[in-house]
Amino acid sequence: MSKQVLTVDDSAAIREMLAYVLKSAGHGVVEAEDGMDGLQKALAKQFDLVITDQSMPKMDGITLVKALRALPQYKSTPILLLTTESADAMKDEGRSAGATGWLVKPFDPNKLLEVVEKVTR
Amino acid sequence: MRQPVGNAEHPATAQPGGQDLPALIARATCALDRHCRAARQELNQTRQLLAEASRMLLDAFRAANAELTAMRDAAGGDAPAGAAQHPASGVSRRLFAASQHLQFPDLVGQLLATTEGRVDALLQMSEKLQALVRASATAAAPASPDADLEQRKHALHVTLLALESSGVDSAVGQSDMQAGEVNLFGLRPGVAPPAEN
Repeated sequence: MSKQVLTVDDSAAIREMLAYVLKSAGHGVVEAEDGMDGLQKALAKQFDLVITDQSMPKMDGITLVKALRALPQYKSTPILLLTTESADAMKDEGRSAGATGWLVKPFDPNKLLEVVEKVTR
Repeated sequence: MRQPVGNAEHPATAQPGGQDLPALIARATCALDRHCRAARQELNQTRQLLAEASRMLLDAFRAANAELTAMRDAAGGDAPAGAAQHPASGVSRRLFAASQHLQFPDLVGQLLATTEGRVDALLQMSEKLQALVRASATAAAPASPDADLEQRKHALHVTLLALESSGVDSAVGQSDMQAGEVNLFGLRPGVAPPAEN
């Protein structure tokens, strides 16, 4: 079933690859280029899923997760962190912030769609 | 085109014997500085080449995707009859695979940024060392405190502390072309992750 997905990453190439894969499965995609931009777009429209990078200017991914979890409308929305970071301490921080999952770049497009299906069902 | 990175300031035949320690340290810091600057220039060059290559690959990806869409439209819909045999399905699979590999320039870009930061820190250290060596050479007498020398020592100490406290772990864990791992936590802390299929 089609979902509305907010993708947040300061890399235009990563955003483009995410949009390509998600749209190919019929999902709607809105892109944001940093955490602050992502938060503003999440406030303007309700999304079914947020996929965010961790290391970004203005606001990082974990701060964005905390900010979204503080909003009643995003209390239970799946939020995936998609990042190059794979250290356990950082993953624990993401989990404590309220992230639904931690995906290490580069993502496998088929695996990503499986995860999207799993967390939004 | 090959970029010049500067000429040697000292002949390779120079011997350490007969030089005093400050002169030798001065030479060493000059050489360190020269090679750090060359490394910085090469990193910058690598970044530009990577950006250009990525741009061209993305252009090719977009063009292939546009052609795929045209093929599907010509076949009369998103799911052409006999999809598995349709040429568009093969192209689609290849584009999907490409979408994974096209993420690598971003990872490499992050590695380059980290390395540029490390080289910049080494350059700062080299500059402070050179300033200290110059101040030391002009100090009146080793026994008497020299304000300029003390200032240079302090500057070197501050730079050294910053270098010592900066991490050496890479922000990018990937060392091959494989896709990264997936960990699902659950919707909120303490909530079990969705069941595996």
